Amino acid sequence: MTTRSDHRRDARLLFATWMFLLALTAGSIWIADVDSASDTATAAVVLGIAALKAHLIAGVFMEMLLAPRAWAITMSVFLVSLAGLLVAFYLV
Amino acid sequence: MTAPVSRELSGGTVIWLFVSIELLTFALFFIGFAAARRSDPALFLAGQEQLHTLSGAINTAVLLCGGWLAARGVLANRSNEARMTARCFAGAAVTGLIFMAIKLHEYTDVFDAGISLSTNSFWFFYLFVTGLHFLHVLAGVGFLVPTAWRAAQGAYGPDNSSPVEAVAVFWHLVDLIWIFLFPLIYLAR
Repeated sequence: MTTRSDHRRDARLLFATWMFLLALTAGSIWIADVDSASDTATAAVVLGIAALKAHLIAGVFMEMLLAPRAWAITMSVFLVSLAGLLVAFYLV
Repeated sequence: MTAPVSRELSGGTVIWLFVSIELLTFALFFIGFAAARRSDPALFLAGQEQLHTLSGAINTAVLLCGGWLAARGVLANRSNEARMTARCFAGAAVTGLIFMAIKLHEYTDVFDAGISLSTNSFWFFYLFVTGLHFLHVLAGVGFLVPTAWRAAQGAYGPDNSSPVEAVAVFWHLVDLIWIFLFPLIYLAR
């Protein structure tokens, strides 16, 4: 069982992560809206933001930050590789 | 996050093996979408312009709320707060229901426009991949509701947290898939 102060700290971390995720979502919509034409740079930015959001969900919500390092590294490499590959399809 | 003293996988290894397979499968669909778009950008742009970005944005926010509630439920369970755990998981289930209602409204518009899986490659990917994700949301709600119910009965707690964590991990997987789906289908042009 967690102590009271641990619990409060963890709850604050979850709340801050959630708020940041919502802000990143709003930011990516705003960026996509500003450059509404077929802008490949915009695609790269919104997919990059998606990779960052995925890291936050995996790391904090799914507790990958506490997982065995091999799992955490594999997940991170997978998310970055996926986003990179998707961006490449838009840029190259 | 504090819980495990040693480095452990939240929910256990089995759920993470399942998550890995699911992520790899959806990654292939995403790559397929991007590759198909590359071969005919105009077709994909025309399809994207028929979608309601606002619906997708609201659904993203709804799922993020659900993700936070599930994570908060796991934390409450570790502190032996059965009622809070139940409320958080029930709340996450409600976000799943909201997501599905919005998505069904979107599908109705698409089908009313005479669009189907065979219309073109954009609509095939849109309907197939979002449909598959929809089924995952449905399954997630199907896991969250009984978990909330059992949590309220005091079936879990710090000494029996794996089932709660495994359901939360599945729910976050649903979130994670949508996090890539939303920009790919609605925003990136």
